[in-house]
Amino acid sequence: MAMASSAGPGELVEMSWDPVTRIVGNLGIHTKIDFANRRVVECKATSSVFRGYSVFMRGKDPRDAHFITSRICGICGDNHATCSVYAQNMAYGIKTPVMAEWIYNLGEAAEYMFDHSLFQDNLVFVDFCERMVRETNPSLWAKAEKTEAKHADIHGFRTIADIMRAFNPFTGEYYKAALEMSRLTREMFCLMEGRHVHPSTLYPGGVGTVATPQVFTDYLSRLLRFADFAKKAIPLNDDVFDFFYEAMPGYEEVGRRRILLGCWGAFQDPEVVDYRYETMSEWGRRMFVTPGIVVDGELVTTDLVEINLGMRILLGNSYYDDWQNGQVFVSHDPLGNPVDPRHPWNQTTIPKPQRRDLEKGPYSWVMSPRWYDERTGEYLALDTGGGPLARLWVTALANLVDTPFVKATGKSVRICLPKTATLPEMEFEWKVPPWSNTIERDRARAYFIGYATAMAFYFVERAMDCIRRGDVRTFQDFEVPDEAIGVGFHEAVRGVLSHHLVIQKGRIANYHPYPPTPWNASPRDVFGTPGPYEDAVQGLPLFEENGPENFKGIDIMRTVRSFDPCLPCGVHMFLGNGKTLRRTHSPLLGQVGEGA
Amino acid sequence: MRKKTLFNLRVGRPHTSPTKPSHVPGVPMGNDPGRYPRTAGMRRTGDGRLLVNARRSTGINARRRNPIDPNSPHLSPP
Amino acid sequence: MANGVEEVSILWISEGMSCDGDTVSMTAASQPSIEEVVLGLVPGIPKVRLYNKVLAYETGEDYLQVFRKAANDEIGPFVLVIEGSIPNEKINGDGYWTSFGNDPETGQPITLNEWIDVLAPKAWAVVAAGTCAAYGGIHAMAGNPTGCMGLADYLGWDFRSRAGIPIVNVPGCPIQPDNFMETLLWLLYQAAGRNPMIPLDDQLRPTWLFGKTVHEGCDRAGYYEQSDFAEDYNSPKCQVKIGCWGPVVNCNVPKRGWMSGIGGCPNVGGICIACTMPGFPDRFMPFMDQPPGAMFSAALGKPYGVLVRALRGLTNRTANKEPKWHHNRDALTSGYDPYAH
Repeated sequence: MAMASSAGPGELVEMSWDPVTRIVGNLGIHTKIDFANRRVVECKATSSVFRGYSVFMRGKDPRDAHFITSRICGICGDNHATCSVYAQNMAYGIKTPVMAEWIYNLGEAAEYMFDHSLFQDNLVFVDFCERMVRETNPSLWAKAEKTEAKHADIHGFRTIADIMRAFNPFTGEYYKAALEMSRLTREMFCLMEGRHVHPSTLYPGGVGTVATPQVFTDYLSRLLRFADFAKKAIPLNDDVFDFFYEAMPGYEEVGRRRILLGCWGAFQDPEVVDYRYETMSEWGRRMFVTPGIVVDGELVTTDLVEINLGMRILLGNSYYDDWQNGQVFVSHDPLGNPVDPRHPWNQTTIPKPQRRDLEKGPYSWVMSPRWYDERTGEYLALDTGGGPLARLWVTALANLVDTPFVKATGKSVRICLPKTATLPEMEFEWKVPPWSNTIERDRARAYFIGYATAMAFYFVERAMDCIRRGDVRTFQDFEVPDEAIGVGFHEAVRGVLSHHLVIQKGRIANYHPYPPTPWNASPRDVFGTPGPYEDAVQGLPLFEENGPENFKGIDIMRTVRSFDPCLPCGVHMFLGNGKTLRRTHSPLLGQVGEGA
Repeated sequence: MRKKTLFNLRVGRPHTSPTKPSHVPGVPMGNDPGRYPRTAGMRRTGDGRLLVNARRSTGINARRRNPIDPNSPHLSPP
Repeated sequence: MANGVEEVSILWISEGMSCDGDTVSMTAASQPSIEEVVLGLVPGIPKVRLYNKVLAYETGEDYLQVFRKAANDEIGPFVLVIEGSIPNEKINGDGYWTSFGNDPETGQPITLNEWIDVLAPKAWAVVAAGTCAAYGGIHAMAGNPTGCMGLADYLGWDFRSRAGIPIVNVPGCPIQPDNFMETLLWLLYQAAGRNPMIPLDDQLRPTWLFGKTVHEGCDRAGYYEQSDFAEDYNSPKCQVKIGCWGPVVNCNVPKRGWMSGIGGCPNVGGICIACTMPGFPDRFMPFMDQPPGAMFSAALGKPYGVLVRALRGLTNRTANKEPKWHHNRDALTSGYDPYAH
């Protein structure tokens, strides 16, 4: 079905993609595009699912929190379960056994290896596959056929076009190999946490996994096979992304936004962590992925207490009643610092379902998390760059991580992977890029797969040390206090994850998880601060060669997917205040395809 | 069913309450401190370590399933 | 067998109140894998076209086309797979709890319930993937704001598809990967005319997958029989006293593992929280509390357990001794006699 006729100069064409596919959860993108100048002028995104965790968790036993919150997400649920266990450990005053922490870390490392690979190779790379590139950038395809891949000797694909052919969904060689790897890595996860995605062996106080030589050699055997794949993946990703910059000069502007990155840290160091709020600044800095915030390229903090106190939840264009005059659960943190009424500890969720109004709002089910920067008084709309970008950027600048496998240098991160079946020991270096854009978000994902793989080797060694000592304790008993608060900081696959917990009368009085997607896709808030998607999509130059008649919006889709949107908690973003000039149907391109 | 609006939603007479599936005091809990001494094959030391032996994994001739060399760690099956 | 069809579409809507965990779990299956089914590598089933938004090539209205055509009966036989709890849209005025695409006339979101109303009666079969779609699941717990439920609560437990098939529930939170693919495979053989009606129990679950309890399939059950229990989570023994509901839960995960025989729940140290059951989660919370009945049966079994362990200990000792005639002396004492009969 043909689109309306081509736009005249200065006219905006409205285009939408709802639902966005190849993401997790429900997301719709509505844009206004200036085809004459080949730019996206405005963009709104809306998600339409509400489930109500923060409502139905109230009154329940706090020990059930991680079982329940795991169900927030069907690809990274274990990240939620782990974060919830961290929050509970703090509330109950637990110091976990060392072996339990290595098992948590091994499980989470397997999750990063699995999820990033599946998302990149089976979801994102379909936007870079032969079929898609032929349909959106035929001249780019022609260049790809003539361009030799720089690292063909490592990954085995001679030209960029060969790589793109291997990305074709269901038939491409790399696509299929990645699906097999996604099962191998999930087996590794199951060895540590029982089952995927919602773990069975995680408890506050530790794990029920039985620590024996068997479980670690089973994990290690699979890790060796995956590491071989990861060592090929990084140079393959570099070849594709460097080609995009070379073949389409200016592509660095696609999805580019101000550098405002947040990372809440991952992988506790069991020698140091005791889950006490009073010492959180110290054990936070000893995590094997450093927590921190980068503003315009400068690292402004690595202190989890400071990060905690700066969190604010603002209501933008969303379907909720405000709680401003509601109950304050926590007036001061355990160190005596005052806690804001708009902090997650003090939030009350009152859903207010209504008709959607895309023009004037409200029109979605999300709130707007922001970080209050005391130095400037700004409410910063932090993003995670899809997860890996923020993790690598903060860890590099913080210059704290120092292990035989992963080392920060102050401007880069060095990742060392040992000898495997087809490749010798190899070292990779992720360097801080000049931009926070679509390509760098995607590139960082490949490097972080290497990072997680490398750290897994370290964790297996440490776990085997415990085995060698006969230290197989995995669980620390505890009692649930009548009154307590806790907070867990962790990195979900896609980025920052926090769980804030308040216990009263021995039951959950308040529970607010903040996964990465509300941060990434947050709307313009009451102060008018734009959200990350607005920065990234608004002003985006179009490189796609199709006109409005058969426009696929591939550069927009690549940008949206670079953030690895994961919407099960509900997302919304509103960008800009345009007038409707012409309403057209969203792109219809040919017949419905075969297979998936 | 008598209906009314409560916080934006139409509600009827409730079949349950939000705290119904919570802990009833007195029911034994897996996290109870002090359960350690009762688990066969596991013993807490004064400094918080956990000593385990073969009885942790078997009820049949456990003593004979311990390592014969005192330098070996005690590693019983899952 | 009735005549079968040559092609079948799978229309998978994960826009219930869902975490998409069942879709993700489906990609973990290897017996068979989803790509083996979609690429036609399994003999004897119709050609399969899969429409699932996590894996789809198309985006937006392109992707939605097949669903709109199905609503107009324009695409031939299809299996409708629903993932996620079904919300109650009668309690929220003008608002909506979930949606999937928009109405081209009004621009307003189309709720999942509207899609179900239109597609379910036209489907060759309807499958509820995961406990949320089957029975309401986590989001339906006490105190929930959305009033959600399972598909059979919404369509009626006596719903029959165009082919006369009841709703097929594949519970699990999430689905065990191969459980789902096996169920799908049965339905595909049935669509091809090679299988009879899929055998479902009174909760609409495939009988060969859910017809036994966790305890009956758990490799820690031997400890239960010997009255040897874990008192905390450091122990490799039976976990009924510390929260495991295995004896009363219908599920095969401890028996078959989670993937390729690896992992599971109580068999690897994770108490069974009954996530396949219609009563999940309320009837089983708080999960770390001892289930009622565990104390009773553990106490009843104690005298038997202590005795049988002692007796087995004696026999085990004998079994651990080699016979006397294995030795290195210069005389054969094995009872060798070529004329023996």
